Amino acid sequence: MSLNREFVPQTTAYPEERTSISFASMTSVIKIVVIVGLLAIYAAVAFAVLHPHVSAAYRDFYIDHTTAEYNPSHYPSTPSEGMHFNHPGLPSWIQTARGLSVREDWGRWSDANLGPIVGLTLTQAFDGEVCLSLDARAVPWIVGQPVEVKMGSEEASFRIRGQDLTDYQLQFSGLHNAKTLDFILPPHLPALAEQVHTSNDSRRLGMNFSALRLVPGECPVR
Amino acid sequence: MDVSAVLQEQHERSAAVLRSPRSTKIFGIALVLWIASNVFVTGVAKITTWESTASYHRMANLCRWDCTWYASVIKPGYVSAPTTADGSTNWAFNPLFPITAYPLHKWLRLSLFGSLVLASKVELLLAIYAFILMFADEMKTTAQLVRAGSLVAFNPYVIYAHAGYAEPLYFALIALGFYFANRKRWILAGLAGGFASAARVVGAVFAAPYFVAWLRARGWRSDWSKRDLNGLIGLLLCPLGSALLMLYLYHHTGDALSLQHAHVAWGRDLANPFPALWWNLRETQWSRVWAIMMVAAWLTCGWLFKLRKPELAIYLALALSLTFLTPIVGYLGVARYIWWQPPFLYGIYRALRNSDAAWVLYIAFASGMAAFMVIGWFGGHNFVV
Repeated sequence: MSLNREFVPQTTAYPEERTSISFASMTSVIKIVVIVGLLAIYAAVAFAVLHPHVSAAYRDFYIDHTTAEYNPSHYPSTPSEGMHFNHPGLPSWIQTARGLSVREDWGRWSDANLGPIVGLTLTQAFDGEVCLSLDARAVPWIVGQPVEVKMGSEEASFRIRGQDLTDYQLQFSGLHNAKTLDFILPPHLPALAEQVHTSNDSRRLGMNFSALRLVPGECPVR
Repeated sequence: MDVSAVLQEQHERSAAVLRSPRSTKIFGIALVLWIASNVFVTGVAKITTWESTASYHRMANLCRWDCTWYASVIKPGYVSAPTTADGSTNWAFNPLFPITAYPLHKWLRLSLFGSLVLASKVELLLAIYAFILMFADEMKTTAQLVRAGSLVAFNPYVIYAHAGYAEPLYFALIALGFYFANRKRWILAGLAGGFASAARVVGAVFAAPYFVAWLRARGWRSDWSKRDLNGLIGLLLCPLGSALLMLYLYHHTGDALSLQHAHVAWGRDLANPFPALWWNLRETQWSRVWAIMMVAAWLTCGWLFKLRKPELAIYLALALSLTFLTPIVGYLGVARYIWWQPPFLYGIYRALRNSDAAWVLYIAFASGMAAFMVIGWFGGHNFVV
């Protein structure tokens, strides 16, 4: 018994020591609660960052940067009357536009920084035969290169003929419920600043779209 | 060891520093410099009206450019969706600065613009005081204290402290953060960082120098089994302002990063910074001046490392990186991202402190530049936005 008493650890403390120990414990507990609370806030932030719930227009403009225009207004027009790219907003038959830079007097440039495709989402579906007519310019370093055009699931192509304003016509003959129109430009386009050393324009320009018309039927013979 | 006694001792030690006669002297110096800065800017603003179409009738006229965005944060508040085709919104403007202006508008019945300008002016006083306090231990004479304060009061871009911008509030909070971190007052340092991150996004990077200061204070080879809960809480507090804003914007817009994404509307996006720097260096006029400032700021980072001030160097490097990696065409507006960083002004102080002649030259340059910026401000030039 006496041996046991010798090895019993000292667990008792004076009242003031007990008070300070309990105060320290309480302070530590409060601090740990604060740390857990702060970590919970950062976990919530991580969740929020990874799970945005935004509109398609928001995602295109702010997150994916595929368009230079946020939620544009729409003006009345038909596919036959066409889309004039220097006109503010979009025609009523176009829902969204991607891959186009800001609007300028002579139209809108494609910018590969915004995506490799200039894409239009249409508000109405096209079936059967459609003649696509496009007025466009191009930067000189892509003259002679091909441009793939995909309307719905049907594909066509044309070769860029020059840097000045040119009218291109493409015939689509077997469209079925086509609601998208994509222009797939040549790859690896350089930034304007790399080609024109007096410029600091970082846009990777390709074609300047001036006007676009979609007319049912066959393209007129020229 | 009685923990309450330790806490009490720490609190009194910290409070004693702020109450000390030296602290009172620092505040007096800050007050005099603040008055001088106000007289300077107001005087130049008045004179500007003689020579141009500028109109300066009252303090609120100083509120332009970003100040009007801060006003929109007060009224109508953060928008839930942009209404313009260019996508510009007030999400990119942090709330702490307009929050400090709100009582002036609400209770003192000042105009919205007037309350923002007055708030930034008052915060300039805090910025001068906090900057001197940040490294007052290194200064022995009153002249040195005055010189340090004058770097803030007569900053070449001091216009931003008189025009309803968040710069002086952010600057003051970061300087206080360094001050408390130097004294191992970790929770106060973390709080200062947390508030700074609510004033400007860049304030969140204060967590990095805080962490370095904490590691240095503990010692690299310290006993890591010993808990330092205060240090950890302080570290977690540093980005708290940004975190809370992100949660609010997530609730409001659906995108926690909308404060960053909003910059797309101003053409700011992640890009290779070196072509932009090289292009600006080859340009003429302001673009080249700003590019040289950028290079000087990076050199200052290196020099601060050499001076064994890694916390300041790391902070400046990270703060610069945010603007360096998302350059605006022509480096427009980049100057205030450099000149309203406490470590950059500290670097200038160290470069000039041993040369009276250099001080005279610097103050002449800084005052002249500051006056020119005020003139440009009222002239509507975009070299000062």
